[in-house]
Amino acid sequence: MKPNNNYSQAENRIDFLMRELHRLSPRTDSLTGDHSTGIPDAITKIIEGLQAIQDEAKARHNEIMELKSVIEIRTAQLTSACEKLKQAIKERSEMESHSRAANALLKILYVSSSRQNYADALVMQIREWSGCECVGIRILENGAIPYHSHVGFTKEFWESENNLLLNRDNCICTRIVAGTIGPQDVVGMTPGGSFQCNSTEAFLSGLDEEERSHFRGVCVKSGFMSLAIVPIQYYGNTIGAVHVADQRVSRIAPGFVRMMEFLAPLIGEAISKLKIRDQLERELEIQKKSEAELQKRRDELAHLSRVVTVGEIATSLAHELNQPLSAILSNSQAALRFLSHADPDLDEVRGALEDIVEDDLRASGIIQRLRSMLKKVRPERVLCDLNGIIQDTLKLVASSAVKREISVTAEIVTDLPKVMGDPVQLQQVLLNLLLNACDSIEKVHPDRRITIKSSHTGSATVEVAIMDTGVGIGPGEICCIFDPFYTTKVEGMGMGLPISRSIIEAHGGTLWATQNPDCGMTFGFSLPVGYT
Amino acid sequence: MRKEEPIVFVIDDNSSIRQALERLIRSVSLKVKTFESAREFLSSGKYEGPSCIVLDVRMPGLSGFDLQEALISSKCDIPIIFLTGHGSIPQSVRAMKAGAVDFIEKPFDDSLLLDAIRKALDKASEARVNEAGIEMIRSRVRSLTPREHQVFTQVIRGRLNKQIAFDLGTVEKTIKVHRARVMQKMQAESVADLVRMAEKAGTGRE
Repeated sequence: MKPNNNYSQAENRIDFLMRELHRLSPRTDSLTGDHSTGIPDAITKIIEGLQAIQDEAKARHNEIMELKSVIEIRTAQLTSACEKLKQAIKERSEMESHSRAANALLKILYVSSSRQNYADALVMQIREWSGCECVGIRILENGAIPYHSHVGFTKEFWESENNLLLNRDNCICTRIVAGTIGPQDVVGMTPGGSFQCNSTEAFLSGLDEEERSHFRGVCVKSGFMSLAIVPIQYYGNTIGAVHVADQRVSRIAPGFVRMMEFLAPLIGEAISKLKIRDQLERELEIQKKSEAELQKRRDELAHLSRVVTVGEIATSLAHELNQPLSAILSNSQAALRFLSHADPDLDEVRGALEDIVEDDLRASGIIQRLRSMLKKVRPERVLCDLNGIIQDTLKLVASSAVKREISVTAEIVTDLPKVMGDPVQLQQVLLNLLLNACDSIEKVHPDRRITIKSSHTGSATVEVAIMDTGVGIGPGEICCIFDPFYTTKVEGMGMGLPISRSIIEAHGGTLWATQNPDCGMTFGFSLPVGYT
Repeated sequence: MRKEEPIVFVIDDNSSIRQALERLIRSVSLKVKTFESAREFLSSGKYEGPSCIVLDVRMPGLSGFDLQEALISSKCDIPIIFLTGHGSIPQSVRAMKAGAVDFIEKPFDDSLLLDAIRKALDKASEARVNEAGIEMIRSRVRSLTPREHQVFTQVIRGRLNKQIAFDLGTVEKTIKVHRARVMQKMQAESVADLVRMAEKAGTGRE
């Protein structure tokens, strides 16, 4: 029951009572006028009481009316606050769904190995979010906006729409990417620059003839009723668009386009960065390939220079080989002669045969060393005994040194730690340095010496130094001798030292040259101690 | 072992070669002694009997040619057979000019070396005989008086008695007597014989 009604009813009843009371009294000509003495006191008092009640009721009524208006204002305020809260909650939940979507995008980016990979995963994700059948990602490339990835479109549609050019084909996709269509131009454009439409038929028929000519209408002809096109941004530039379409009407939820607009910069960034990464990877691939190629060439060059070096010592090696062969022949013929005696001295024959075996082993050792130098194998990494390599190399150059009347002495520290490397290449370096030393002594005074020293310099390095008493080099030349094709020899190729240095550096060591205080040069290299 | 027994000296820095050569030479019952270097050979002292050297051309320190030169300059004409890994013509020409008996390239056939050794030892023996003859002539020359020596040097130059007498300021008859004495002391049968002796001993021309 409303308080108003109660109040009117009460008032009416009081009025009635007062009228009755006046009628009962003989001198009642006025209900509200003075109360003449003719009216009995009791009635007067009742009337007065009623009057007071009436006044009281009036006052209460006014109070109530006031309260009512306050309540109305408050209610309106509350209602509006409630609306705002509802909006905020809605916005908050949209934001949450946006950030969930952004997280999903990041996950896709994280697992994508290339831009193509990312775009493929992206169209599937957008299809799931939109609930629409067809999704395509257009990327701007040289004025065209081909689909980088797409799902759901028919072959015919794709063939017709894949080759749109910004400056030739006038349609929503091209105009959005080109930035030639704004929110005020057509219905369905959002403030964020996207287009959304839940009935393309209605959209087109709502345009006048002139406006309609700006649209190709392929989407409508292909039966797509629902359509959304969201520009993909990167640093303020539009680099493509997300194209969502469905043959059913009203498939584009307004929240979806807002979400895509929120995600567009993330997509733009991911696509641009992935493009750069793809390029980098391609370049890296090319670089890796060319590095492998370069290494191969380096190995081939090292081998070639080894062959050349072996060629240089071939004559003296032939001599080296001739010695055991000659000894074998003499021993065999001596044995035959002993056997032809009337009473053959079998001890002599045995001695000859023993020597033959030994000389044969010596000869095959020389051939073995030579073969290992000429063998074309991929460089290996094994623990090498540098002292052993030095001894082997000295055997190779020994006869060459004798021929040139050069005395070679080795000062080798025992228990030299092993190094990790390729024994053939290390021997090549030693051979090269020793032959260089021999060449430098070629035209020198009576002091013709080469000293080769091995030492354990630091806890983690071993060093080999080759000192000669040769002509040395000029003070300005020391910086050039490691340059390719720099040579002081008439028949030199100028590759020995640069190749030697690159071999030592590939072993993690350094190769250096210094001039001796008195005469000649010292070439040396240090290598890190190898660990298994 | 007699002092006169021939001996072959093998000098090579390569022990295999040394040992093989020693055995080969031993197989034909020849005496052989090996040396590791030219220097070792030089410091081993002189051998009186007939001998020859089998010498490696290329050796550290003193080379084969160095030894040959050293022997020539010390007037030791012991025959040398050179062994070489790869013989070059200039090398062998140089060695032969300096009096080498042979120049053999390694590896070689045994008979080649052994023949060369035999030839060398024969030459050495011959030289020894020769040397003995020269020594005899020289001692005969020493037995001449100064005057007889003067006449001897003039006669082998083909001078006539008359000319010699004029040069020495005496008469032809006196020269004839001196000349007969020279022929007798030198045990020469003719002037030609006397000239040959003088040439062999390398005397009478001073």
